[in-house]
Amino acid sequence: MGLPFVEWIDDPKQLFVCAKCGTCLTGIKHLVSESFRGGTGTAYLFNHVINVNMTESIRRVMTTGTHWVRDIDCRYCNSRVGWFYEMALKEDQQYKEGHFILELALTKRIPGMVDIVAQKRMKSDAASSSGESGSSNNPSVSSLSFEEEKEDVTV
Amino acid sequence: MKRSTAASHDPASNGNSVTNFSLSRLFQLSATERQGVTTRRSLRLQQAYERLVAGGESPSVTVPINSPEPHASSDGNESLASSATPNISPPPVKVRRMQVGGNPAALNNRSVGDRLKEKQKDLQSHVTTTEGSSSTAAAAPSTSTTTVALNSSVTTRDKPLSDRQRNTVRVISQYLREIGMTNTVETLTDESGCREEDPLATQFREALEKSDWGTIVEIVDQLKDQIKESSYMTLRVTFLEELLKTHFSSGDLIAALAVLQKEYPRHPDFLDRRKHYGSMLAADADYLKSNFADSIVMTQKSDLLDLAEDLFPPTFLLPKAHGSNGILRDHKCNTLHFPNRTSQIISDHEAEVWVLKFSPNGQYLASTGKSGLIYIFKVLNDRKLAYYNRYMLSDELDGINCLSWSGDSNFIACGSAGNSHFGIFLIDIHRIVDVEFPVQDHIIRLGVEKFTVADFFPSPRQHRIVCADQKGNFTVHDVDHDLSDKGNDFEGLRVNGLYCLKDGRTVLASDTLFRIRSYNFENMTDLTLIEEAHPIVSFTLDSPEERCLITTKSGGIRMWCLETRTLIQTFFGSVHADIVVNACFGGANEEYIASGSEGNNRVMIWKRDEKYPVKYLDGHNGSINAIAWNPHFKNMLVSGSDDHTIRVWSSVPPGSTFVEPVPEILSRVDEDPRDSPVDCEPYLRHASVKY
Repeated sequence: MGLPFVEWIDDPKQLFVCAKCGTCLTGIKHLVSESFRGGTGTAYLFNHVINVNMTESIRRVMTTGTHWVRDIDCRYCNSRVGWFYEMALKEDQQYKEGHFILELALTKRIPGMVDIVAQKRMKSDAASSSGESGSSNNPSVSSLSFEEEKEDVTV
Repeated sequence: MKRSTAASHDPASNGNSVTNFSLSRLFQLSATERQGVTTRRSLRLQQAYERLVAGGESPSVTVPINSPEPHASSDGNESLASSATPNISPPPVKVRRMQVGGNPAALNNRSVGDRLKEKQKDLQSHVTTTEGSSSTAAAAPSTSTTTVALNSSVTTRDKPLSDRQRNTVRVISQYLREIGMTNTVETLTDESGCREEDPLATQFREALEKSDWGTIVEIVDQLKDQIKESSYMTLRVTFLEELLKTHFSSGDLIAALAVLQKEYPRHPDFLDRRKHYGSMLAADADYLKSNFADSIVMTQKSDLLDLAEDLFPPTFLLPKAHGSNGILRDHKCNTLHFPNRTSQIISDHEAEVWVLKFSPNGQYLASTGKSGLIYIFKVLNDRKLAYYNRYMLSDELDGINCLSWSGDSNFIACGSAGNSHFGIFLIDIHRIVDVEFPVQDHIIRLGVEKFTVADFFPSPRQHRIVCADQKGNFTVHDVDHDLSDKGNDFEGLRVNGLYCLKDGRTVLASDTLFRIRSYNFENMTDLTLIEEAHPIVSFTLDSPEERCLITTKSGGIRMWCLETRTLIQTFFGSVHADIVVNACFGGANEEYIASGSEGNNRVMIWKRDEKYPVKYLDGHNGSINAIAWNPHFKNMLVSGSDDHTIRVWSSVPPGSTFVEPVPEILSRVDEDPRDSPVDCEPYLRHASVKY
């Protein structure tokens, strides 16, 4: 259907790309939680993912409860990469709403790139101010686990 | 052209000048005057006029319209123009400045014509010798009682009226006649020496009424020099056919035969029509009579008159009251020089067509798409392409997303789609390669595992390519010297699109952070030019490199000025959210912008300063990905779509009753592409040509 237009995430540290075609999906700055499990193994929760197509909303029962989810496909190669939480029926699960799950086995991690303009700013910052490194534009992301629960998905 | 008003002669004026003398303004002002609204300027004019009249001198004629300075005579004189309403009774109708003195009480109650005639008699009793070379028109109305003024007016009238003046006078006299002021018209005709209508035109009208086609054809012949060849042919043929029809309906076959043999043009375009009428000769008499019954002929008279008005020179037959345009003719070049019909459909690609690019010299078109095949077509004329060459790069490609021509139109650089990163391929378009076995020797490859987009610098003597990809590689290669990276590269960029400027040094690149930045590889400087608010799908520049057209994902197509780096215009209507769609400048003076669209299968064309499309071209069955406007033939547009076809759009002449169906052509390797003749004459004939 035409040459698909793919976008990229600006993340200097790490990017997650589709394992099959390499299309950029998200960056580590959008990571919310690492303690999820999908059908293929560990999965991460992100709050922003691009270049994906979503299916219609499906009601699914998972270990943590009943949720309405949409499955996610890579826009370029149409291979599955995870799912998206549309609605959670239990109140304590509602933090996941609007977030994406990417299964690690279906994605790859590649190193990020510092943008050319940000590079210049870093250099000028380092030159102008003493001692203070203006290096990281992004706050260092530690994996915040809201829950230690593991989640099983009935696929 | 700006002319100073009469009031500017008046020392009390503030020096404002009337811009843009137009008849509509003339009539406009007279309308307001009728309602009794006087403007400040009109008051001044009126005062000035009164002063003159009181001083016993009526305004004399001054310099013709076209001269930019105020006339040489004394500044007491003014020239005033009539506003052609009964209320205002100004002196002679000299089309110059607008006289809006609206207070009838101050002026005479006599009509213009009467006063003119009186003055005329006065003059003629005074001056008999100064008639001289100036026409009778000249002496009479210059209504000055003093001989001095008369002399000056006579001498200035020695210059005959320019064409423009004549035409304006004629329009005025037409209008005056319509509202019934025949006296004035006569006086005007006498004075200006311009007849309202060419005697030939009156003859034409009479002949048309009487259906005297023979006379009409002669008249058309007489005007042969003044109208375009194509118009001449059309007119001639049209009237000859009317003549033939009358002959046929009266059963006079011999006369019809004579006409066909002698008069009907032997131009190959008219061959079919000629044959058609020839075959009529052999037909049954009754059939002929019924076919060419009088009623059919009669109803077309108004159409014929319209056609004649369109095609004759505008000053010949004054079209009746087209608003206030009078002798001005609607700008019609758009239909002649604008693509509006498909003239060819090429379905060589058996896959989605993604990129289309014309070579810089406008002779070739390169096309590529999902299959990884590159087809090169040759431009035969402004409607047609012929197959030239094709290349298969590699089986493993997902498709080719980027094409760039070298400055000398001999090489093409292409980049592969997706993240496969096969590098940049350089191909020589004139080399024939056996497609079954893609031989890698004929193809130069740059940067294996790197680079998805590339652009040649437009200089025809060098071959320097800038290559980039979305993984941070961005270098310039000089292919004539060596194929390795020169070491000059910029890092930290994910480049989506490239454009090399004509100065041979600067490159514009669009990246994934919604920016367009310029890079100079010689002194390694870079600069952010445009920061968009939406993801940039593709971008292009116009030929003078002043404006940048950006196709954005969710913001429409936006045109930015590169010098001031501001947004000039946004164009709405096309959809390009999910796929890469190109837009391009083109058309006469690069005034138009064309873009494909995803989903609604239409080519949309905007005028450069309007937000909404002025034209849609329908016909494709899939999203239109690529579009290109021929730099050489301004009326040729090609579009490539997901329905595996490339369509060539071209202009169909206006007023032609010959509408051609659109054929499907499959260009195959039937003939040696080098044998096809290249016809560089744009097609502008009104004729029944089968495409």
